[in-house]
Amino acid sequence: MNGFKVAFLSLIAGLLLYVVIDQWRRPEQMGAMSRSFAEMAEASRAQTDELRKVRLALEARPVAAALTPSVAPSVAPSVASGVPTNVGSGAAVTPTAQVPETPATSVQPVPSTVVPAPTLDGVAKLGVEFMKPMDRSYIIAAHLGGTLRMISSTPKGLNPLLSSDAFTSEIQENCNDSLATHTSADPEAWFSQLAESAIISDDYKTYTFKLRKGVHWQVPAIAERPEFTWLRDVHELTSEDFAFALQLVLDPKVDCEHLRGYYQDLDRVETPDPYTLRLIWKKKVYTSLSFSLGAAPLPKHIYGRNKDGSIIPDNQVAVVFNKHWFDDERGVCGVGEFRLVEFTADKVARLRRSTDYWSTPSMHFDTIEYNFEIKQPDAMLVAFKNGQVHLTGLPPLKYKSEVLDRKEPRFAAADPANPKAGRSGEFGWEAAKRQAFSYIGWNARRPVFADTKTRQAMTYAFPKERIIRDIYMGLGQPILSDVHPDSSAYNSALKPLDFDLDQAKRLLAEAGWTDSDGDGLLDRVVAGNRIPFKFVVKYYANSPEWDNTLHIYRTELKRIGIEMEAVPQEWKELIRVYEDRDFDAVVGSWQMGFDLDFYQLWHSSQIDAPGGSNHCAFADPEVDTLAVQLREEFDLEKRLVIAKRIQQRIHDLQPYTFFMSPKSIFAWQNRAPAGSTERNRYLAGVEWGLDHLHPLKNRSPLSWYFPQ
Amino acid sequence: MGEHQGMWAKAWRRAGVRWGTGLVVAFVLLGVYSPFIANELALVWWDAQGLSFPVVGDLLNRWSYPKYYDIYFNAAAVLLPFLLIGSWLLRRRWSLVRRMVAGALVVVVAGTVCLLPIIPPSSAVSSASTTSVSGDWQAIWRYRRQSQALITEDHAKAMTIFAPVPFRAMTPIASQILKSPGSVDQTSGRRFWLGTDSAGKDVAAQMLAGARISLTVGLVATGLSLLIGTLLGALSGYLGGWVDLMIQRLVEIMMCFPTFILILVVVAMTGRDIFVIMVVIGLTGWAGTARLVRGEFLAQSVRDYVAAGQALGLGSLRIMFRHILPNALTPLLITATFGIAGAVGSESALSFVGLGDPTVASWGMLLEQGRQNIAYAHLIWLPGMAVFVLVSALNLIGNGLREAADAASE
Repeated sequence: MNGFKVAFLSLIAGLLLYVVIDQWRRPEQMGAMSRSFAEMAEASRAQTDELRKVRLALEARPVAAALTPSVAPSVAPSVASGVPTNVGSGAAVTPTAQVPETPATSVQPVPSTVVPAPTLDGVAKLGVEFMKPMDRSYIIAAHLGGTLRMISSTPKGLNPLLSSDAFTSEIQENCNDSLATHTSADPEAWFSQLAESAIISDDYKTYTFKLRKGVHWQVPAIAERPEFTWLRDVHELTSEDFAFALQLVLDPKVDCEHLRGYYQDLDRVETPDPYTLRLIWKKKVYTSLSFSLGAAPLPKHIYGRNKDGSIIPDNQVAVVFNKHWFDDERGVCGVGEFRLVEFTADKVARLRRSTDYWSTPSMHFDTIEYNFEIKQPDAMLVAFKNGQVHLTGLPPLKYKSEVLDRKEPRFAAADPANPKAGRSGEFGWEAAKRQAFSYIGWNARRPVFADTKTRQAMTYAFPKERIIRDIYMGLGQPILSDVHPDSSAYNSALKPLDFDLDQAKRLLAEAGWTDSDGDGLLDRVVAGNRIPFKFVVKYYANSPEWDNTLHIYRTELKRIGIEMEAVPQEWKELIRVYEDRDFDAVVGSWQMGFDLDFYQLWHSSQIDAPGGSNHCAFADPEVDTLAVQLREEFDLEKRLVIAKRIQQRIHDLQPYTFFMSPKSIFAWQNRAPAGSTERNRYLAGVEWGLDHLHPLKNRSPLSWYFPQ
Repeated sequence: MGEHQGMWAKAWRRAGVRWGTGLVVAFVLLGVYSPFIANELALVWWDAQGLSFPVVGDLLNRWSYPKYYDIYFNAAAVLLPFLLIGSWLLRRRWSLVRRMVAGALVVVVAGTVCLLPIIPPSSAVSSASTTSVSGDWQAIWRYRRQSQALITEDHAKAMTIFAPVPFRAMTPIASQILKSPGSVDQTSGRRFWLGTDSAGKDVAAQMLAGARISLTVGLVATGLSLLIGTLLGALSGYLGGWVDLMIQRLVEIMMCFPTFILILVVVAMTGRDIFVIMVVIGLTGWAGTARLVRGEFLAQSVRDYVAAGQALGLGSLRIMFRHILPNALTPLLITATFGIAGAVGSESALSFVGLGDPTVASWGMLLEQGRQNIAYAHLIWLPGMAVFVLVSALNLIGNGLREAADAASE
C-alpha cells in the first residue's frame, strides 16, 4: 500500500513537475515552433513569388506604411492591461461592429474611377457624391514583404455575423472590405472602398451605392481539398452579396441579435442590377449612415450552398446559416487584402496577402501570423523578448518594471520631456491613447446613491490624478464624460470635480449624512430607517491596478466616514452583475465608438431593457429628449451642440465617477529576428504610424488612436 | 511523561535539534512580537497630552487586526513575559510539558475573551449586514481614527519612537509600488528595509506577518490532523475488529488521494480563506497519523498495564486516552513536527499557485507576487528563504527527535 502511495504520489509529483517545467520551457518551445514556421515559410517561397509581382507593380507608385498597432491592441491592451472592456454588451460604443463597420483596408487612388472633385470631403451630404478616396501614400514599396507575428486567443467561431469576439473582427478587417470606411481621427469623413459612389437621398432614408466592378471573392483555403473543387470557381462581388448579408442580419432566425439591433430601422434592401445596391430605411436615424456605408458583403456562393455545392432553398438559408458547414471547416472568404490560409485552433492562424486584391496594399506584410499558444501574460512578454512575436503591450506594472525601473535594458529609458524617447531602443515602445474609458458607476436604485449630491461627493473623494500617477504610472488621461477629451464633440466647459475631501464632506452634509450615533460612520434616515453609509463596490478580479485604486479610494472614504468594501469578481460573474444590476457600485469600462450616441448608456428606456447598458439607472428627462434628438440629427454643428449639452447634464448628475481613458504601452521589435538574413522591415511603419494618425486608425479604429 | 523528557534530553544533545529549536523559537518570537517590530503606529508617543503607547493600545483593535489569529498572537505577546515568569516559578512543581500546555491554554482563553465583545469585521463592513454596531467596536473605531490622525498630522509636535519597520503588513502605500530594498518613501521619509510589493506593501512587515501565518497554519492544521488521526487510530488499534476494518479502509481511501491536488480542488471550490486553507490541510493530513497511532495502540494494548486496567474494570476510553496514549506520544510528537513543516510548505505552495488568501500577508503570497513580477528578486528570495529556513528547522527537530526515540527504544 505504501509503495503504491509512493508510486502514485511520485507520478503526480512528476506530472506537476512536468507541467511546471513545461511552463518554464514554453518560450523555448515557442522558439522551436517559430523556427518550424520559418521552414514552412521557406517552403512556400514559390507562392510568395507571385506576391512579388504585386510589389513590382507598386514600385512606381507612392507608398504605404500601415504597420498596424491595431494588430497589437487586440492582443495587448485587452489582455495585458487586465481590464476587460465591456465588449459584449455593446455601448455607446459599438464594440460588436465587425460586419457593418469592417473598416478594412484599402481604397487606393484608382485614377480611372474616382475623379477627385472639391466636394469629395468625405462628409455625408444629401444628393451628391461625397466619399474620399483612401490615401495609401504611406506604403513604401521597398518595405513590402515579411511576416508579422502576434499573439491572439483562439476565437469560438469565425462567422462574421454570428461571432462577436475581437479576433473574428480582426480577421474580417484583414480579409474583407465594406462599402466605405471611416476613422476615429475624423469620424465624419468617409473613404470609398467597395462602393465607387454613394448617393444619399430622401432625407437620409435612401442610400444608393454603385459597386466597384471586377472585385472577386477569394478562393478559400479549403478549396484545395478534393471535395471542395466546386469552390475554386471565381465569383465576382455583386450587390446580391450585400443584400444576402443584410437579409440574414434582419432575419430573426439568425443568431445575431447584437447586430440586428443596429439594423432594426432598415426597411428593405434593393438590388436593381449587380452593381447597384439600395438601402431604404424606415425613418431618419443617424446611425443609418455608418451602418449603411459600413455594410460588408457575405459570399452568397458559399453561405447560400450546401457542402456539396448544391443551392440551399431560400426559406432554409437562415436556419442553416446558424450551423453552416463553412464555419465548421473554419473557412473565411472575403474580398479583402489578406486571405486565411491556415487555421488551427489553439495553435496558429495565418493570413497571406491575396494575389488578386482589387486595391493597393494597406500594410507592408505579406503574411500575418496569430499565435494562439501563448496565454499567460508573462509568457507573452518572454515571447516578445525572444523575438517570437513582433508586437506586445505592457500593462502599467510591466511598464514600470521593464521601462521605468530599467529591468530590461533593451527598452530605451523613459524621458518625461520626450514622449518619443522609447523608440530608440532595441525594443521600441510608446504610449498610445485608447478609445475607451473606465468609471465607477453608482446604482441610483440604492438609497445610498439615489441623490445627486452624494454622487458628486463620491467623485470629489476620488483622487483621480494621484491614482493615475501612482498606480497607472501616468498611463491614463482623466476624463469627465463618455466622450474622449481629444474629440471635437468633447465639452471642454466641464469643470472637473477635483479631489477635495472638504467639499465632499460639505455635499454629504447637505445630502443629510451625519454621524448621529458617533460611531465614525455617516448615516441618514431613508424611508424611516437610519442607514449607515456603507456599500460594496464590485470590480475586476486579477487587476492589481484596480486593487490598488480601490484601496486608495477606501482610505479616502474612511476619512470622511464612509465604509467601502471592494469585492473582486471574475469576468463572467461581473457581466451577470451588470445585467442583473446587482451592485451598490461597480467598476466598468466602455469602448468609445465612432458615432456620438448617448441613447444606449443614458436613455431611461435602457434601465430595464433586457441587455440594456444603463445599469446605473440614470434617468433624466432632458438627456432622454436630447439623446433621441441626437439620433435623428445629421447636421454636424447641431450634433455637437446637443452632445455637449448632454455631457454637461451627465456631468452635473454624476451617474458615474468618470475615471480615465487609458493609454497603452505598445511595444515592437526594432531588431531583425535571430537568424534572419532579411533586413528588419516588419515594423518599418510603426514610427511613421505613431506620428501619422490615419494608417493606424484604418486598422483598428475602435480601440486605437494616435494623436499627431 | 518521564520517558519523553529523557528523550528530549537525548535529542537536545544533537546540534541539529538545538539549531532547529533556536530558529523555530526565533520565528515564534518574531511572529508574536511582529506588531512591535513592524507597525505604522508609534511605539511611544509623548506630546502635550501626555505619554501614550499607540501600538499597545492598538493590539486588540479589530480594524488593525481583522483576522482572529492575530488577536491570539497579540494576547500571547502581552502574556508571554508573565507566562515565562510563572513557568519559572512553577519549574519544580510542574513538568515542562504541563507548563507549556497551561501557557497555551492561558493564551487561548485570553485571546478568546478578547475576541468576545467585538463584532467580526466582515459583518461590520459588509453592506448586506444590518447588524448594528456595538459599543466596543465604536470605541475602537474612534481610537483608530484618532491614532491615525496623530501620526499623520501631529507628528512634528511629539516625541516619538517608531518600530524598526515603520509599516504595517497589509497597508499598501499606493505611491510606492515595487520599490527595491532600502528605498525611502518620499512622503513619510520612512525606509522600506526590504522593499515593497506590487501593491506598495512593505515586504519586511509582510515577512514578519508571514511568520505568524505560517506558524498558525502549521499549528492549526497539524493540530486538527493529529486530533482526527489520534482519535481514529486509537479506536482502530484498541477496539480492533470491524471498527479497525472500517477505519483502515477509510485511511486507505484518504491515502489514495494525492493530498495536494485534493487541497487544490477543495480550496478552489470553497474559497480562498486562510481558515479554510488551514482546515483543509488539516483534514487531508490525518491518515498517516491514524496508522501510526493504531500501530502504537496495537503494540501497547497487549502490555500488562492495559490488562491490569481492564481487570480493574476501567472503561475503554479511560484506558485508551489516560493510559495508552501518554505512552504513544513520542511518535506523535515526531509526526507533529514534520506535519507542521508540511503544512507550512503546503500553504506557501497554495498561495504560490494563486489559491492563497489574498487578505493575509503570507510568504506564499509574496512568492506569488514575485512570480508575477519576476524582475524584482527581493520578492522571491526573501520569502523563499524564510519558508526554507522554517521548514528545515522543523525537520531538523523532527529528525533529531526520531533518532533520539529510536536510540531510546533500542
